[in-house]
Amino acid sequence: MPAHPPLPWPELEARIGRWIELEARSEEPFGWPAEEFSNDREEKFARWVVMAASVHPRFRFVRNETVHWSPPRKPLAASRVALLSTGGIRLRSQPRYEVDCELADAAWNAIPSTASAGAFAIDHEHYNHADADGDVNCMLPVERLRDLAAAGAVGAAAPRHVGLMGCISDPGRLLAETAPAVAAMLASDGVDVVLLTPG
Amino acid sequence: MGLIQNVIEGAGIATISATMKPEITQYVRAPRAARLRLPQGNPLGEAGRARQQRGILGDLLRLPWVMGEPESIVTLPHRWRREARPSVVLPGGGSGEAPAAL
Repeated sequence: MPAHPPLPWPELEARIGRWIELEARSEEPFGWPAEEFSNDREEKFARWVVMAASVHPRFRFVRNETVHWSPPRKPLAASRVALLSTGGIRLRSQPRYEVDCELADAAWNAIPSTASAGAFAIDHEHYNHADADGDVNCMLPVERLRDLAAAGAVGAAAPRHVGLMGCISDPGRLLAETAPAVAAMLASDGVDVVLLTPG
Repeated sequence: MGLIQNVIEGAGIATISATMKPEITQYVRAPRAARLRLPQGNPLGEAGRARQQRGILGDLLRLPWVMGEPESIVTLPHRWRREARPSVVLPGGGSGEAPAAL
């Protein structure tokens, strides 16, 4: 039973803004009691935003104002599938990402889908990628996608996958430049479905 | 991740995103997402377990054909079987929780 009805977005956003201001002025850690939230997700989200804002001065939370929806056009067994990871993944031969979140590195890399599993590097300091360092398929399943294509469950792997950083305090450049460029490349490759994975 | 996902979806390409933080995914308003109860860094499961990885990948890729509501988040049943592990490895080899995994 929720403590309150879910807060409408403008009200939740305003509360979070007030909390961030109070947090910034307070000498001691500051927070709302759990009873102020209508459910776990609302509480976890609000606490995450406040924490991110306290750690990263340039952080701003941006949400989609309009949600797009494109149903698949053909069966999976006939579809061309691309992978995209925000875990800071790239080929070893590609330039390193900037790991400082304040610099909001919106660089991205096209990764040939034929790349061998040992050709990857991961630049990120916010999660444990020890497993993916040894087996990239934990995060960007390039070999597993080839397995499914060979078995006929998937039409084909797209010619190029995508790697980029996930730690971007200010997504302005991501939205203005990176996302349209990535979408244009995927469209030009005739991609039908994209699987996005975090770090 | 839900921001770039939405741009790709807007270009006419169906998408599915994996998430271990559904509270963020919900509020960013991702078009179509699957929650996995797996640790950060392992959205496709454990290293060296190709069968598990194929199973998770196959389940994720089928979702665009069965999810009919924008912004919905489904939870997949795959679970972590290995012993507990740190969510982040700090410089110098220590471990702990990430301060803010954006």
